[in-house]
Order: sequence, then structure tokens, then C-alpha cells
Amino acid sequence: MDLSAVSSIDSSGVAALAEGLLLAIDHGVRFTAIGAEGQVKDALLRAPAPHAEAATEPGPGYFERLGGNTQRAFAAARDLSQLLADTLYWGFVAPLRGRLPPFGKTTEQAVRIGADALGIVTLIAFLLGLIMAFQAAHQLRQFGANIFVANLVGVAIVRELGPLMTAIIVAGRSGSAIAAELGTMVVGEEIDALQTMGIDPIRYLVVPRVFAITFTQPSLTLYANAVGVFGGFLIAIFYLDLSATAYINQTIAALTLGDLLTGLAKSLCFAWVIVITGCFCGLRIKGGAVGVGHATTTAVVASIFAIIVVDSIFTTLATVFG
Amino acid sequence: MSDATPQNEPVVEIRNLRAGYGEKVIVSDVSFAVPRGRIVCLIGGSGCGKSTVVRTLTGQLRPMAGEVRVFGQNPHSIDEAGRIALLRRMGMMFQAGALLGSMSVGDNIALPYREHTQLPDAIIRRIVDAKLALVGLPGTASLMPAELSGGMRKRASLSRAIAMDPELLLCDEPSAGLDPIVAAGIDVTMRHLQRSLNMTMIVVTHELASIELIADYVVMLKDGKVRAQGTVAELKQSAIDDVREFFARRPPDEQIDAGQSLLAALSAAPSPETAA
Repeated sequence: MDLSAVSSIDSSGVAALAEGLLLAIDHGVRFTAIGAEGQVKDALLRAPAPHAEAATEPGPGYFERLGGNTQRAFAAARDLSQLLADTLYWGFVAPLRGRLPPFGKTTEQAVRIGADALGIVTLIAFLLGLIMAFQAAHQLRQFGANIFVANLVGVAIVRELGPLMTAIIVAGRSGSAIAAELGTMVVGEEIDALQTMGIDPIRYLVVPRVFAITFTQPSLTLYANAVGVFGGFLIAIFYLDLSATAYINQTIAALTLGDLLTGLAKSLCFAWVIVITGCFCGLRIKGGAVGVGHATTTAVVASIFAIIVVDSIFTTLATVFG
Repeated sequence: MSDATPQNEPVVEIRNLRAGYGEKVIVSDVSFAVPRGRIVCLIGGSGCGKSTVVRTLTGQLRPMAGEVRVFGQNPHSIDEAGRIALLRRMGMMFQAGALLGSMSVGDNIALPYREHTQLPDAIIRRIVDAKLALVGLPGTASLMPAELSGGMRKRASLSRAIAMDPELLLCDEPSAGLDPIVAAGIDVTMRHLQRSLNMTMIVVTHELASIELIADYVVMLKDGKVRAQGTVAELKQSAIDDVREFFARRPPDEQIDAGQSLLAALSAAPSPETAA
């Protein structure tokens, strides 16, 4: 090819020549270019000679991937146990030795996890009570057993739906926030900064959140129970024409202290699942802003999954052991 | 506390350090010592292990082999209380500032005092004001880190690093990415701190202007090893080409070898037989 008439060449022109050379070699044709001068010569001098792309190495095989995943799972389990052990130490052992967790941080977190969630918990618990009562009324009315709406709403909310729905709301609101907040701190070297100041990040960041949620989750659950039952109560009065006294008496008669305590015990377990999952996902983050997004999603999905698992364990144990 | 280390003993001693993350080795053999009251610049290209060395000094990264000693103690083999006592004698300034975003600049600087001392809040506030004035940021205590510019954030980070009057200050790229005037301002502040408080400093940097202004001694790393060490004047006369070139501000030649260029390939395209 004679380039003597070409006065200038851009990147795509250079790339086309390189590609042409490769094609020529592939097809066994000799391809040369002569007469390059000035900017054209300069551009060709600055571009590397093309090389046929090396065959890509085959990816890892099935067993290699299985091994890699197993190793990662073990590493995650080790990190999780380390986090649990550190949290127990800084939460319960260190305070006995005079190293108290920061009190101000705990109240701040209690407000964010608990008080700030009141609005959405109210709305959802109320609607849940409403829906339960409507659904139950529809069926029970056929048998003239309207009053048993109180039993159904009361027991279902206090034992099961109150703790579960509150946990799902808190996992979505605070579990994600914890993961995103801690993840951003990891990315911004804030955790490193705390360590170099001699401040343990578990004591300063994780323990206040654990203490805060330990207090707020059962409180929110109790509140959700009350609001849910109230939702059912309104339907009973205005839609089923039951008397307020009858409904309240029936609810009290249907509920046992055991129901309430089971619900609260569940809520405590859910709380720890949410906070530990959130902290774990946040502190293990790798890879900048994408990592924060991934950790946040993982925290919510994993904690809701774990909440359902814990709930089913509770229900199974309660059924088996009465 | 400072009596624990004799004046003539180095503040930091690193011997045959090998360190990295997971199985990846970043520094394979690094040894140097930092005498009291000196500013040592740790220089080298990206990824050569400068920050990794600093992380082993603060106890955040355990060495794979070799030994690090800070004030005569190994930060990796002392108990929690000993480590906190050691960290209180050190300050660290991070590359991007690493100020806690959830609290004001003043609270950031006050944090080590609130965590480690019983001082009344009024006193802590006075200290915070004094530290901010020292780095040229008076009256910014109530601002949030997000409200500061990049240069101000670095200054605030420096102010937090020197909050507890550390004997050893570690700085990770204090002037990187700043305009030359702001960068020089930070350098002058560091020189001033070193002179007035006899602070020992390890400064990770690759800004030649900073090195010439502040370094008493330079350790140059390359491929995880010490490539050269000495004063700036000594390294300018170094027998090693790339060390001399670095100080002569000569950029490495990135030109493609003429024989490997597209022009050469096109002028004498190989016959199909030889190419195969």
C-alpha cells in the first residue's frame, strides 16, 4: 500500500492498518505499506505492531470452582465467628473491666433504628390487623362465629405476624442502613482511622448497634402487636358490629402470656440476626461504591432469609414441645 | 512515656519485612530505621508497598516475616492495653482524609480525647481550636467533613493525627492531588511541627517538591524491596539510573521501540511462512 498521498491519519486509520496486517498474515498474503511521511509516519511509529490474540486460557474447572467457593465459605464463617466473639467480648466482658461501650452512640442508634421506624411500623401493623380481620370475618361470618375474629387476629399478630413484620421492616430500613454505613466507612478508610486512634471498631460501631436494637426491637414488636390488634378491633366494631368490650375480652381470653413471650423472644433473635448480618456485610466490603451496593442488598436478602429460618425453627420447636 | 525509648534509639525499626494481603506478597524484603526527630520520606511507584509498610507499623497488618519495632516494641506481639498505649504515641494521616463523615470536624479531632482521656469538654474544645489553627483551618470545628474541600480535608486529617501530640506521625500521601500552593502549605506545616515538637515522621509520598522540602532521609521502594536509601543529595548522585532519573524529574521513556512499531511491521511485513 502506498501511503505517500495520505497527509494525515487518525486512530481508526492506524487500527485499520494493523487489522489489515493481521488479516493478511492470517490469509498468507504479504502486506506492506510504503511512503508514510510526516504525521502518518509518526502515528505508525507510535503504534505497536499487532499480535494475533493469544488463545484465552480456559476458565477454572468444576472442581476448582467448587474448591474456591468452599474456601470462601470457610473464610466467611471464620470472619463471622470472629465478629460474634469480638461483639460478645466488647459488649459483655469488656464493660465488666471498665471499658464501657459509647453510651451516646447507643442512644443515637436506638433513635434511628427504633423511634424513626415508628411511622412505617404503625402503618403496616395497622393494615395487617385490618386485612387479617377482614379475611377472617369473611369466613367466620358464614358460621356465625364473628367473635372468633378476635382470637384469630390476636394470636396471629402477637405470636407470629407482629414480630415477623416488624423484623422485616427493620431489616429493610436499618439492616441495609447499617451495611451501607459501615461499608462506606470501610471504603473511606474510616475504620482504619479508628484503629490507628486506638479505638476498636467493634466496640465503637457494632456494640452500640447491638445494644440499641436489643432494646428497640422488642419494644417495636410490642407496639406493632398493639396497633395490629387495634386494626382488627376497628373492623370488628364497624364491619362486624361486635361490641368493643366483647372483642377486648375475647382477645384477652385468647392470648396467653406464653404467646406474648414467644413473640418477644422471636423478636430478640430477629434483632440480633439483622444487626449482625448488617455489620458483617458492611465490614467485609470490598471494591468501592459497587461493593457498598452489593453489601446492602446482601444484608437485606440474607437477614430476611435468616429471619424466616429462625421463625420456622421457633414454630417447629413450639409445636413439638407444646 | 517518651522516656521508655532512649533518645539515640531509632523510633521505628524495620528488619527484613515481608508483608501483603492474603497470599499476595506486596513487600518482600524491606529494612530501614527512623531516628528520633527526623522526617523520612517513603517513596516509590504505585503499588510498590509504601502504604503496606505503614500499615504494619500501626498494627493493622501483621507481617508475614521479619520484624517491625515502634518505640522499641513490636505492635503485633503486645496486649490490647499495650497496643492502645503505643497507638496513643502515634498519629496517622490518611490519603483521603478518612474523617468520620457522621461527625463534625471538631468532633473528629476531639474523638481520641473523648475515648482515651477524662478531660472536661471545655478543655477538649480549646485543644480542638488550637489544633485547627495550627494547620491553618481556624473556625472550621463545626463544619461537617463533606463541607470541606480536598485540601481542607487533608489539613483536618493532619490536625486529627496530631491531636494527641504524638511522637511519631505517619502520613499517607499528604500532598497528593492538591494544587502546588496548598501542597506546599501542608509541607511547611509538617516541617514546622517537626521542628517545634521534635516529632518523628514517616511520610509516604511521590511528590518530588515535597520530598525536597521536608525529607531528612529518603527510602525508595521498588518491587517490594528497598531500591535505595539516603539523603536527597545522596540519592541525586546515586549510581542507580532510575533513582537518579527520579530526582532529575525525567519521566520514564514510554516510547515504543521503533523495531516493535506498526511502521516497522508494515515496512517489512513477514512472509506468511515466517509469521506462522
